[in-house]
Amino acid sequence: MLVISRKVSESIMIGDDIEIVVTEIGSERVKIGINAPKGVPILRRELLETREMNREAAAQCLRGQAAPLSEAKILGRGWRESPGKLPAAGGSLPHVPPGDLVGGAGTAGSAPPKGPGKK
Amino acid sequence: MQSGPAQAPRNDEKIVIHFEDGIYGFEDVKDFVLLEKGGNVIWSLQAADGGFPSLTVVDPFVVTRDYRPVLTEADRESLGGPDDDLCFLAVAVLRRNLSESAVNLKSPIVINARTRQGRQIIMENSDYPVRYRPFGGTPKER
Repeated sequence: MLVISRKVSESIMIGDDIEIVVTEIGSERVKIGINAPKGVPILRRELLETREMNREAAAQCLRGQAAPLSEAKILGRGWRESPGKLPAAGGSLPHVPPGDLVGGAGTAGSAPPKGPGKK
Repeated sequence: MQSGPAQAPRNDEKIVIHFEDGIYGFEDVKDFVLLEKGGNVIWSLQAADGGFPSLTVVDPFVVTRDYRPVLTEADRESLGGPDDDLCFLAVAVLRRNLSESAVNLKSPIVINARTRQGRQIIMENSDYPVRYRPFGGTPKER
């Protein structure tokens, strides 16, 4: 892999019409600007990987047997905001046990309940 | 402002979850239902009409006990509601050879249980892998 070191506002050209500009450098991440012709797809890699993985997950289900729609339930783990403890935007949310999220007549998750936010 | 709990649907009611943006790879499919597959751990997220696509999803908090998804303010706004209405699911590829199984912890399916709106969110501020190997794999993938 070609590795080039750059400062803020310096750029790299790829071919004649794709320019990569370093716009900001932080402690953990860099911000990058990209100038490219409209037809050039630019995607974060994890988007591509997520799309691939979704398709794989769907392909395997094709071989499985679909349950009747009547079994549909919304199940999952609930999350609760604990004011004062909640980190600013971008912080992680505290984990709480499943609440009243359960749809249908089924019971909530089978995991033993844990104290909210006490971890 | 506090609204009551989402009313529990009857068992025979079809709960449609609307994904305004679809999910990655199936952007045109907007409405899904969640079907239980086993043990309150595995479900399939299936297109409400016709059943394709149908993806296996799992409870990420069972996969890794200390799962801490990180949503941005914009993510949370887009789901329109307080955090305690959100439930998280992770897309899984399950293989007979368990070590080849993978769970996407980077991009959870987040559903607002009250509004029944869902989104698949690629979390920018988290280091979870797209292919987390719950049953082993190389350290790099962990």
